[in-house]
Amino acid sequence: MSAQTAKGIRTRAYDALSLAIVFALLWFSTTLGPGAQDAASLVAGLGFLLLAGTLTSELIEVLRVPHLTGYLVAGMVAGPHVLHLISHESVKRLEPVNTLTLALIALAGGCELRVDALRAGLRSLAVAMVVQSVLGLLVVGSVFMIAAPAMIPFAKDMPLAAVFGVALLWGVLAISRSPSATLGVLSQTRAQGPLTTFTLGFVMSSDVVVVILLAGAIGVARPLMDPSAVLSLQAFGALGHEIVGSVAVGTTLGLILAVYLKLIGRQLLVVLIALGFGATEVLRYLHFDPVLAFLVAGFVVQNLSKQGDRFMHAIEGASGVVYVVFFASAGAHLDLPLLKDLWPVALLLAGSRALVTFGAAKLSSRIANDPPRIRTWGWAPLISQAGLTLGLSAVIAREFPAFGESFRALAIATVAMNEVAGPIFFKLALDRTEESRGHAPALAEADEPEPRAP
Amino acid sequence: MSAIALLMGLLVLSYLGSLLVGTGKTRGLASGIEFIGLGFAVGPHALGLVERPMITEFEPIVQVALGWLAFVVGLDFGRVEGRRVGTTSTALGIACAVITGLFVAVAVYVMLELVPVGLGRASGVILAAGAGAIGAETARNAVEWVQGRWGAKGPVSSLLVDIGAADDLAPLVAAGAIFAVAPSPGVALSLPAWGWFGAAVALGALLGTVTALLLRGAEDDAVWGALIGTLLLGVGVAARFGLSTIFVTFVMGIALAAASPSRRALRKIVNPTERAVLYPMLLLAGARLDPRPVLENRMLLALVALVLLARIFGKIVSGFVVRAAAPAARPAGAWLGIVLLSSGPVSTACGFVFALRFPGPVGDTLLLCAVASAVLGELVSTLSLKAMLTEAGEIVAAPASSGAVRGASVPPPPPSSSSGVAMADAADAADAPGDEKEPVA
Repeated sequence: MSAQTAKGIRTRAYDALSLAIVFALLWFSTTLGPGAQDAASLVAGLGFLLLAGTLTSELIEVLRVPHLTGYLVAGMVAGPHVLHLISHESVKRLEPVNTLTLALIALAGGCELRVDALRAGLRSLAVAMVVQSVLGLLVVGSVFMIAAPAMIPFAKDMPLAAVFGVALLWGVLAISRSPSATLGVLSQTRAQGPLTTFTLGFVMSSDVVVVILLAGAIGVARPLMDPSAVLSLQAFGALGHEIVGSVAVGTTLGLILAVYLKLIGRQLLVVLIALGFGATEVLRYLHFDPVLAFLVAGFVVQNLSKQGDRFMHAIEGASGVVYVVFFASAGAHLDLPLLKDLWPVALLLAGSRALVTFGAAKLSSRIANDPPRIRTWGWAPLISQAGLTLGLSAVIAREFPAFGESFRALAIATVAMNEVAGPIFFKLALDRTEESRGHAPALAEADEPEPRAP
Repeated sequence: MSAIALLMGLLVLSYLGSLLVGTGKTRGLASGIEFIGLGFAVGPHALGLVERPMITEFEPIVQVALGWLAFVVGLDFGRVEGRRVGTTSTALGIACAVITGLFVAVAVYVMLELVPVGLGRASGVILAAGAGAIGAETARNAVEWVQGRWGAKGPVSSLLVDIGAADDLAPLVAAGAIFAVAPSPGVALSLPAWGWFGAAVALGALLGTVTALLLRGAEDDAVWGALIGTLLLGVGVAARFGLSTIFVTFVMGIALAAASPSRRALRKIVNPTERAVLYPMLLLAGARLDPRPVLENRMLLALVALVLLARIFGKIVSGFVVRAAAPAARPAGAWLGIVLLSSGPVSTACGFVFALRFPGPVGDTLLLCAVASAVLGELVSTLSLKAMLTEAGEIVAAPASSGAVRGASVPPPPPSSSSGVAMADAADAADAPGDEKEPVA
């Protein structure tokens, strides 16, 4: 089921027929069945997203777009804004799947970070991080400031200082990337090579950088919007506690996992589910960041034990299903009417972000003297934005209730564009650099003859 | 207890269940009632650690777990340990289940006609038919448990395993038919009962075929997505229309096994999940068990007792039928029917889906009937089966000391290599000539 698999017209026809059947079944169920908000609707919707996402991704594979785009498209089409086959409530009730997915993504992301590879590319990563962060923050923030009086309704009547504060927040949002989209595309392509290593290192570490920058930006922006407020270091104290605590818990968790893998090593799926739900709940209760903790745990398993490959294999096995549901439900969640309203300004902001990402990647590659692949395609993996950015926008909305919801709506519209376009660029880069690898063994290849009693 | 704590508890059970795959058939009790007991103990009617709203919150997971168990049964239907069950054994298994189910259903119906228990006529019919569906099964787990624990091998034990494997059809089809009589209120489509039954069959067959199509050339990683996706869609659609989810997924499993060239690989990857899903399901069934309607209405308590009596009678008659039809069963003696009383996951799953679909006295009574049948089978059937197989010479009596040690801790050899041969031989002996056999690849 990968791009590398040559498929005949008959297989495509079967896929199309299956997709039609799946759509028809859900349509009949939604049209004729009672109660669109009950448990049965949720179960049917979940199954539909899984099937329709998979089948759509198979069908649009001929366009050489990533599977992830197919999952998003399936969710969008069936979601509450187009065909209404899946209700808002069902999409909301699927949020536990997101919790599990983010845990798996973080564990996988940590596992992908190998110390030797990071050490080898440290200069490249550091330069890219600085250049991308500084230029992204400055350029996209400036575009926001320029566009605010004419195109951004909630910032029209704000004083200049307040607009500057909002632009600063937007700039931080603009330099966030998407670990989920990155790992989603890598999971499909099974890519390996310099670009893949650079991407993983950059995207995973930028997660931490953005969280720190956001705390700083909130601290700076608050007095700009509210003259009675003062610049406070309290946020940094809490942030430090959160980061140090998360790293400590993640290290412990990673060591426990390594011991478990070495001594028992069975039923990893159940262990991963327990971690995804149970450990996330505990970490939230302790006010630690689950994503950072799991990232560190994966990193520890990979680099402080010999169990990394085994653990990674288990995560890949579990993540296949959850990725489809995660992105398909994200597609269903995309607020298309909002995008319709905000598309000019969203396009301006997403476009300027893409341009500055491109320019910054070229500049940082030149400074760090990167290999040709990264110099040519290093920008492509950095376009995607998804759950992390939406999470940050939710934090901003909570911190600044006066304009937070409008800010968040604009973020959703921009993320929608980056979420659709970003993975396509990344897949294109992996294909062009020939880092995409062959597909996994098919079920039929594993189908040994059944022993028969004589 | 929070929902997360309950989920963690279920995952621990699932973990234990999955650890027992392969070597674990003889661990614990054959019917798994200890997990039902645990569920009841922590449930809202005993310790109250798990509250009723939390069980309701977990309903989607329960529906999917029940559907998965029925799907596994369907995918492996007509097979034991990888070999195909002969036509005669299949027919006998189904006949035994139908006979017992009819005895139970008629007994309950007559009682409801004679003694008012405060249920409407439609509810009474569903209760009687549901009791028949729940009372029909003989759990093959119990026979396999005895085989595994005491090393039984021979024509009688293998015939009993075959019967236990084949008779799953009857309760699941019965559940499909009963649910078809009472589709969800508010459905914008009017069909007669046979129409709904046909719709359930069509839904299962369609999804099984779609799964087979999806699995053509699918990568290993994508198999679970296809299986889980079609199962969820089937369960969700069936539940919305008020159809029996376990019947739909059972048909889906049969259709997939028939349509997919990768059926053997599928069975290999799906079968080990059975216990991992079963134990949490049994725990939730126990937590869902509500004895209040039965305790408040003594006639319902009498009805549960009647179900057990009718089941005993039906199984004794079934035993005679088996002895008359299968020469291999004759050494079993006249009380063969008693050992057919074992009841397990399929009955409990049936009881659970009735409890979910018909909440209140009907569903609660049926779930209680399922649990009571499992307890009765555990008390009566397992030990009598051991005695019968010893008498039939299929269990070689071990010296007292070594037997005690063996029974206490050491798991016996799994019935694979040599016992598998014996079972195949026995099946060949029991089945009529011309029975279809698994082609050698």
